[in-house]
Amino acid sequence: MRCTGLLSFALCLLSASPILSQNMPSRFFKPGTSLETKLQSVLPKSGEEAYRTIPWHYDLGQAREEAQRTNKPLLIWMMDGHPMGST
Amino acid sequence: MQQDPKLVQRIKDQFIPVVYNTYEMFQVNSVSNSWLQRYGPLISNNLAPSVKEKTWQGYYILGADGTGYGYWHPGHMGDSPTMATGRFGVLTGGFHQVLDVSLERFRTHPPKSINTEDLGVGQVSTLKPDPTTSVIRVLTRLPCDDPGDPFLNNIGRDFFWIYRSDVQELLEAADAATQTFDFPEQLKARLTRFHLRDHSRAMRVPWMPEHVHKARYSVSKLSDLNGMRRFRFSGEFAMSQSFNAIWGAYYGMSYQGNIEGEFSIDPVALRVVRWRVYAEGPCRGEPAPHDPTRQTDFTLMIGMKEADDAEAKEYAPVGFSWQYPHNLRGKPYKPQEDYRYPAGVPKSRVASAPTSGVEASPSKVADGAITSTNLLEGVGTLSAWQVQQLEGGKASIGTENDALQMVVTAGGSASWHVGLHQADRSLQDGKNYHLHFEAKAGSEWKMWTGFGIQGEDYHSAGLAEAITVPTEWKTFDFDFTATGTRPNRNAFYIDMGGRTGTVWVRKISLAEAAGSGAEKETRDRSNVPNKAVFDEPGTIKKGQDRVPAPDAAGGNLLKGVGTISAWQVQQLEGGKGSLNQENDAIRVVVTAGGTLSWHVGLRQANLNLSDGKRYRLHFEAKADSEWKMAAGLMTQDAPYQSIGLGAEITVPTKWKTFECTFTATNTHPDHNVFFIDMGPRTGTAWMRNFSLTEER
Repeated sequence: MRCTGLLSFALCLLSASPILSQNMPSRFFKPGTSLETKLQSVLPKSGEEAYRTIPWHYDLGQAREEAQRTNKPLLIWMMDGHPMGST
Repeated sequence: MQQDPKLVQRIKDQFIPVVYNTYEMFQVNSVSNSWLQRYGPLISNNLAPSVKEKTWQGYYILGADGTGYGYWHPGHMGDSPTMATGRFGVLTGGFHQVLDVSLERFRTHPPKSINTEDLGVGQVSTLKPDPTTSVIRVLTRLPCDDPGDPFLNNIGRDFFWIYRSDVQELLEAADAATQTFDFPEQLKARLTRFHLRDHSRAMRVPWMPEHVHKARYSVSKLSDLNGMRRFRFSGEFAMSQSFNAIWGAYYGMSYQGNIEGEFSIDPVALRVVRWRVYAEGPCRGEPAPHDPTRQTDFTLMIGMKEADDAEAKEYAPVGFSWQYPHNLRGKPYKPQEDYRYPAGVPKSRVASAPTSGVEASPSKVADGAITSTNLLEGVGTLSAWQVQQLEGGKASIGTENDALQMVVTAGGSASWHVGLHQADRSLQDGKNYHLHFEAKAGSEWKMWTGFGIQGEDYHSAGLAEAITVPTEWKTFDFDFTATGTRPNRNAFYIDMGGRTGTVWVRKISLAEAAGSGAEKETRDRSNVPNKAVFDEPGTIKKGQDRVPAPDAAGGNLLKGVGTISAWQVQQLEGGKGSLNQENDAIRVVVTAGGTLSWHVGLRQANLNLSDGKRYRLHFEAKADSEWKMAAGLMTQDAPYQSIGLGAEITVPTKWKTFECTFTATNTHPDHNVFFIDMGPRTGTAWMRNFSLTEER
């Protein structure tokens, strides 16, 4: 197994166990690893949330007004589930 | 997955960027949502004609006047190996090309000037959390061996709403516990069903209740700190599914593992001020032939952290959106299984009494048409009714001529936040009932009506229907079989929250219908496999060897049923099928099943049915091996609603008759389609003796 990217510090420390037991060990973390460390490994890293720096409009009426005023087209990102909530 | 900084800058510089949720577009009435519904399909159809399955999802480049300049969806345009995402992290070079072309079109064909006074600026078009709701950001990762896979390495996101009532219940449970305690049911179910999901692979469809095999949490109290109540918890969960009623498809998915967390609560504000959670375990994806990555087993990591930023205050959890039936392309998802989460079924059926200042006006309101057997009591008196007002919803009830009048002055943020209720109804499992009422509204209004049990877990008692109430009186009739009832603890509701306005309702009646009791025993339950799938207005009856189609010679709304030219084969997302005549039957050969039930199927479109009329559908079918299909009728235009019948059926290897009656609702003139969905598997099926006749 090749260890990559975001979890390189912890990946491969424990081999995977497909059988779930009451105290199933983490695949990525040694026993005793703090909750905060585990959580930090999931949180977005720099560059993973660049889209959030875009000034997205959620008020389409306001966006249409601005599009006309600035002579720009609208770029509407539309998904099943809100793009800003489930990208 | 790193996101392209050049693309980010380009969007900032050259476009007015807008984000939208397709579900909210239909759920929330606003000028903007109506505008998008008008232009969205026009643009995607015209600019992406090769895309067979029309989807609302994607990236649209529009002028302020609605002129379409570009449309892009990665899954449908071949730029991505997956069908399920248009996420920012997977945007590729093809997207830049679409932007280039769109800008050129914009320059050569600029939009017309529009009147900016009627754009609906400031109207709420999204489903926002109530200010009292604590919002948690949910993030997921699937660490994998291939760092270049944009999909698997894409971080998954969601929001998790914890209500003030959840916090209250949790504190009460903590105060009552001497040692550890479990999460309150609402919070526990919402956490498990909606937020222990694989968002990295866009497997966001909530677990149905029956998919949850283990959800065991142990919460312990820590010492208070600065007036905050602190807790720690750990737990185990295990969920798996082979069928998901929301998708109407057979997907193998599972996730099992351990979860741990710490959180702090402000006991005065009843808010979660800190929420740190980590979950991990093996997660199996769905089998998608065109997308092998998704059926692989990975270890899914989920992290959760409190969120108080602008996005958290603006956008809804994806699971919230999944509840709305317009997403189902007419498939008969019923929200009765949607317990303990804000959609369709209110959190509380114990509504408040009518607001003060509104006195009962006996005998002003006409009783229902079947007064002698009306199971709703005192429909002519205001005191018989309750007004549900939750999460900021406000309404008053009065009478006007022969009708109840509901004036909603604050809609809350969801349908169940305001509603007309009558509690403590006596329904019995397995009995058939007929609900009747008439309604009109000051402006067209999407509502929910049905019966739900009072108290945990607030599930449906067999009827939960979306209705559109017009400005003129409209009659609503529903036949349903009660299920999951509680003795004298079932409530009738018409939920009308999420917006304000005035609604009038009259002639409300609930009557026990024919077919209850002894006849119930003759129903072939093999054809009623899942109440979340089965559309209650119609019931498939026990199969028999051969039953002539009723009145097939006269009044059959299905045309040329004996000739294959009268039928269409739906082939979407890789599904492939063909039709042949074999004796008196149509033979359907499915050589590629797609990934969802409706990717391959038999169709007859342009049927003319009318709301409120009862119809009888009849056909016979057999297959080379037992085959689960879905049959029914729906509108053939977006939002592809069921028009009263949709059912999962099991077609055996010997001829079997399928027959049902139903009351049509939400029909479109001459634009309704009969369907038998056969995906996602392959095989051969034979069908004959079709008829669709009006019951007189």
